[in-house]
Amino acid sequence: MFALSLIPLLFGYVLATRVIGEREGHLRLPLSYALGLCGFLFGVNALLHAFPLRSAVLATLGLMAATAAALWPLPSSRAVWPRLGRLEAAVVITLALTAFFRALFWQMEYSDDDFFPHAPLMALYLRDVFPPRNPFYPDQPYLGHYGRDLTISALSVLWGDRFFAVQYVVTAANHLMTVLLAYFASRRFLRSRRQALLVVALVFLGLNPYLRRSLLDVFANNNTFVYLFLFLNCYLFLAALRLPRPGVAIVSALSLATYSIVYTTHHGVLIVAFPLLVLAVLIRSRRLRALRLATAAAILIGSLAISFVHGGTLTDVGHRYLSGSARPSSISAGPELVTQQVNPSFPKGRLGFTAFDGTPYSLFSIRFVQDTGLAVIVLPLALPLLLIARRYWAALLALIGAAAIVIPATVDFGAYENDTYRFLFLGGLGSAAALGSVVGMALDRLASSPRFWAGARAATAVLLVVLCWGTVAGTGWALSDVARRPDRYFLRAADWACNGIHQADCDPADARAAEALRPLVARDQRVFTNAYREGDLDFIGLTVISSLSRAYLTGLGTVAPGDPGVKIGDQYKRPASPRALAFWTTGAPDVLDELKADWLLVDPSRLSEAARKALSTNPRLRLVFRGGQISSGGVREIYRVEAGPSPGRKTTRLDPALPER
Amino acid sequence: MMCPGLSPTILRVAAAVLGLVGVSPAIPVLAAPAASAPPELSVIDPPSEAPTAASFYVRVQIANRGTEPLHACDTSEGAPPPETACFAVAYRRDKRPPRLAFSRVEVAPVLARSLFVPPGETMERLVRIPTASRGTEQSVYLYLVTGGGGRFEWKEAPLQLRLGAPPAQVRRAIWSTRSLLAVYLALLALGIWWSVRRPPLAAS
Repeated sequence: MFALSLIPLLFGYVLATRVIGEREGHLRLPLSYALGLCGFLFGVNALLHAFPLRSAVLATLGLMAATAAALWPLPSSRAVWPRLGRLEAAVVITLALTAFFRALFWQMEYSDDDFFPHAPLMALYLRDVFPPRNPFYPDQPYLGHYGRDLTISALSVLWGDRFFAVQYVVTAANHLMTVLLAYFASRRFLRSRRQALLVVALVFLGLNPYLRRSLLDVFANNNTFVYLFLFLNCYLFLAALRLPRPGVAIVSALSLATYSIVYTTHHGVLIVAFPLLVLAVLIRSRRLRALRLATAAAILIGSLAISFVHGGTLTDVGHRYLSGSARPSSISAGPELVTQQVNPSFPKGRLGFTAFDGTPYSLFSIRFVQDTGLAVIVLPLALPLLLIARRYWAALLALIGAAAIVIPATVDFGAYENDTYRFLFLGGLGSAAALGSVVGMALDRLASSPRFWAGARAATAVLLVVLCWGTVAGTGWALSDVARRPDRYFLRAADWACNGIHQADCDPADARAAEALRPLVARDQRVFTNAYREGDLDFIGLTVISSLSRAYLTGLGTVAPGDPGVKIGDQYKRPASPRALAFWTTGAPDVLDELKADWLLVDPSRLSEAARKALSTNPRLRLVFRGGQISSGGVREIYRVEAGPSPGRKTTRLDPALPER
Repeated sequence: MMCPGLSPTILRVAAAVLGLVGVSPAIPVLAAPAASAPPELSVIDPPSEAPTAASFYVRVQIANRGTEPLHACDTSEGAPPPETACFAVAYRRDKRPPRLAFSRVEVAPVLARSLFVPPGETMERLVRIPTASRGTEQSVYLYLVTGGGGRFEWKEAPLQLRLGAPPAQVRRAIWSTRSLLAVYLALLALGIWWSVRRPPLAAS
């Protein structure tokens, strides 16, 4: 089956060469990869509304193969391979290889940054759970973007359902392809090696020296999909705008629509930035004015029309406003963080942002420059310069940066207000690209002037050292740690679970029991466990159980909605609700029905005497697994909760759909 | 010292002898006066060997001799000293902490603070302690802590372990990580060698 993974690549290659007509050989490789991945996600997402995941994957691959075969006879120009300079080749090769291995090693150590919710969501897709629901609160939908998790789950169907391994490889490959796409697209559109090198160097190494370093370090969670598809969308839109053709416009619209299920915030920024670029191009050039306007309008309208029906945030917003309800009927009045429902309001009433810890700060503050990166200082100057000089690739990235700053400065995102750092990172990226292009333009001009050339090169070198030092040093340190402590880097998720970096968060015995549970659990069934640790603030242990067993968990609590003691950015989950605690203390059988538990994963040493007795005498509990020994973390038991009301069951007092406090 | 007059070594020997004759050897670590009835913590069968770059488990028995439910102590920084009886288990690897404070040791998650040991009951918990990545021996200083009456009482149970071969999954991790690192460095060297051997471009 794994050989079928080549079909998206072939499909992408056919699109890149036959439809888009890309001639540069260097650019064809990352473009084919990105187009194949994007097309695969679009197809799987569309078909998953009607078919199970495996059928959707196979049907998508069939359609991709048929499309590629149909498009193959179209004329394709011969590839040209512009020569790479020594420095250019060395920088691009080093950056691309480092991006791949840095991302791979990091995942071998941590698996993911937001291990919850990504790992359980990927696991649940393999059980045909779609649209996604909150893995820890299965009565609640899980709104928002989901493209990355769905792509990895769908690809893992071809690789024996090994979604962790597929995640590690695809994430690393995405990061490598992002370097290649960003560099070769910059060189193609800016028509300057110096500008392209500076754009890529500043974006990947010198973007944000204070908080999160640079794009080379940003590969966890959705990020490699986000930035690969960001550059892909920019490339396609600019290609469609430069020389309007129906094929390129259709591919651009589909790609932009797919982006809406990959990352909502950045999709919103593109929807704002693209028309601004169109306006700038129409003002600066009279050629093909009507055709360009019509093409851009068709791309934006077409992509939005798809986005409002194919899933994700915009589809949810569309349903809500069409049905006239503020929130879907299935959502209870629980915290918005459980469902990921965002309720933005405009205007915010101030011009500023909210830090991750809840601290508000102004657009005109040092904190803003720290969170966005030094390059943002020159953005107001660089943007008009790029538009005047008709460097539209860099101008588009600068416009994206500007939109990514203005949107969170003026829109209030409610419970997600402290997530505005996502926008600011993009703002910094656009600013860094603009700075790189402007400095490159200056160098291009000074190159012919021997009097200033040496000084200009020295000044550029100093600028690069100052801006890039943080990321270069951090990457060197991270790679040296791989050499020093190889025992902390696990390629197999089952080996990694509760070992290495997460040794203190959970126990391998829980992971083994979760793996034993996997073949027993059916779709939509729920596991109730007492194997949690209060000190595990990131819920690593419970996430390991959910993702390895590929099941929902039940019995978790949440903070009280509107609790004044809970600040923005605080964790909303609690490892056990009061009802769960009551069960693990007394073994009261009613709780199992209230929590809709289908399976119990029990660490018997954590049970009270009363609960242990209650479990052994409950006629509805059937012990199906007992394994482990003291030298490997103790015994774990798995019980099946048999259907049927328990004798003397009392009426449930709380609405079971309501997340417990 | 765990018990007055008995060294940890003597206690471990006694435990081993009791184990040989088939008696479960619970080493009493805290034997409190019956009047106040504080909790009683003991280490059972302390191990003497462990794998490298992995972890081992220590069995700790917690007996609640009082009449109130027994909770784990609040060991967070700035927490007030406990007035009611509570317990905690902590450890430090390689060397003793300079002073006995929770900020200077690793606190083991023995029991969630929302759970408790009911009055008159005994609970046995496993404490997981990571081992070093290198070396043949490791010292671990285990602390069984009881709280109550506005103060903590710390009892030390030192463990001396012989480190054996790492477990299979760690051996796999070391092998795969070193292989991938070698591939990375080889590709990098090859790429840079290829780049610098290229003829220079004409100045643009």
